[in-house]
Amino acid sequence: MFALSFATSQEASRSGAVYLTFDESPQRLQGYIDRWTQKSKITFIDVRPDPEAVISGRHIELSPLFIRIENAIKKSGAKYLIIDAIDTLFEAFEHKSTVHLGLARVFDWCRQAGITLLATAGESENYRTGTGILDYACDCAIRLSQDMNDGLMSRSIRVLKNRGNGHGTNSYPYIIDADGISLIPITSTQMSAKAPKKHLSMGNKTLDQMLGGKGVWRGSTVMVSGQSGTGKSLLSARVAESACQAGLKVLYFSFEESPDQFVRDVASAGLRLREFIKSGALTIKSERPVERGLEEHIIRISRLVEANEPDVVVFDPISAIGDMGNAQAFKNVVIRLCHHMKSMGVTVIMTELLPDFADNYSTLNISSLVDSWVRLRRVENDGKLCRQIYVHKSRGMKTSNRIANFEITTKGLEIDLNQNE
Amino acid sequence: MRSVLDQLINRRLKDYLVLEVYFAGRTPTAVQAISNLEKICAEVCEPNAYQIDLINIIENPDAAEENGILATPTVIRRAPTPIRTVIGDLSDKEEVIIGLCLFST
Repeated sequence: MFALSFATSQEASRSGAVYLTFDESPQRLQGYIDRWTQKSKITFIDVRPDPEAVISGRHIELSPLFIRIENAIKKSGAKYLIIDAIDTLFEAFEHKSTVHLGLARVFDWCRQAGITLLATAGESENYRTGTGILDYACDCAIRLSQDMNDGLMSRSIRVLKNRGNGHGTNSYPYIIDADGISLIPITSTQMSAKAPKKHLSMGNKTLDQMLGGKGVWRGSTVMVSGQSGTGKSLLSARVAESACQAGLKVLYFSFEESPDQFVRDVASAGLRLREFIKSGALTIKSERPVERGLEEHIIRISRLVEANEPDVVVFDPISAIGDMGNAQAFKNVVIRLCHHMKSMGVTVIMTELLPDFADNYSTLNISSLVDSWVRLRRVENDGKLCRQIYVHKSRGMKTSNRIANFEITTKGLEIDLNQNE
Repeated sequence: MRSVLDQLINRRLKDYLVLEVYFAGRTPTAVQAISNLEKICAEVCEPNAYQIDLINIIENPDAAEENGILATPTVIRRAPTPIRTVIGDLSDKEEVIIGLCLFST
């Protein structure tokens, strides 16, 4: 099922590998590999059983398998051996014990010769009885599986055993795409991220004042929450703009609007993002979250962040990803994402769209994760719609306790601290 | 069934038969297979109308690679075409004759 998988691990391609294939032709495999990498030193051995071969008599030896492997390894100097779809061998020959012995001999020889062997086997219900001995003969077993949840496929990987090494025991999600296999960065249980001593302006003097004068700490996680139409996207776009003006690099994930639409819309409030997109300071990525599973999302986001190396990342709105799965799974993903960003020293701005029924309470329940929390809300007053802003919390900041009115004008957010005095 | 096989055997091959036996050292199974094959050929082929080439893949591993040998002993009917393959100790005469197609079709 997952036969190809690890075949082209970087290590293997560096020192050369011998690849035994039991089900796909070497040409096809090489074709897959060419799509991933140019440099591969892989010697293929085609051991697909001939379906037309007739078997006569009870006695069969599998020594050719061994002889061919030894021959190929000697010739290529490979340090890695990959046996793909080992289970096919059990199907091709009736006498399981012959197959077991033949494979055990290969395993033993690899250990003695210092060859790292990777074998893949398709899993079936009677997988243990089918290839039983392999479980005991190998030093490390990794299980890959795929599950469907709510119509979305997710792949996961689990280390079953790893002799002589401590290993993670959980099942971790992974994706396969044009770059091969990607795993989610595992959440470190230790929090050792360094705390930068610089500030990031929120792009609004009054709001910076409310946050203690200089804005938020760089490398911190900032949440902007509010119901629809309260100006979340505008505020985070303004943060992005001012960060760009300060010479920082920004990666903006817009889950609701296309980059073009987004730039046009915030331009109505006086924000000029286009020039920063041109200069490369600002990158806007728009993706419809519904098309991917939660895990796939976080992997793609992490990878984009790693490739882009921004100073500031904006998720607008983070709650869009939350539509994908259950609340706990979502929270886990956000925790991972935030930790990962923090460890890279990236400032995270995320907006949360609050449903009207939520009555201004966050439904994501990730308050403890965020360092600063700015809340926006709508109040209907005297036949007028009034927008309000306040700082819910900001770690390490002398924050204002004011609830200030603000308006969205052609010059952006105008916060009036003097009202309601 | 026996009569059918006899009928087939009576239809002798017209072309010169070339068989290759791939084996991994002179194991009891290999010796048995070679001896079985010789007996069968003597029975179903005209004398001097066939040859059996023995290829020890321990001495010649490249031959195993080139011919995609997965298990030993393996017999390949090289000529006349079509190429046919039989694996095992060849103790089942019927399977060998039908598998290698040792008669005219």
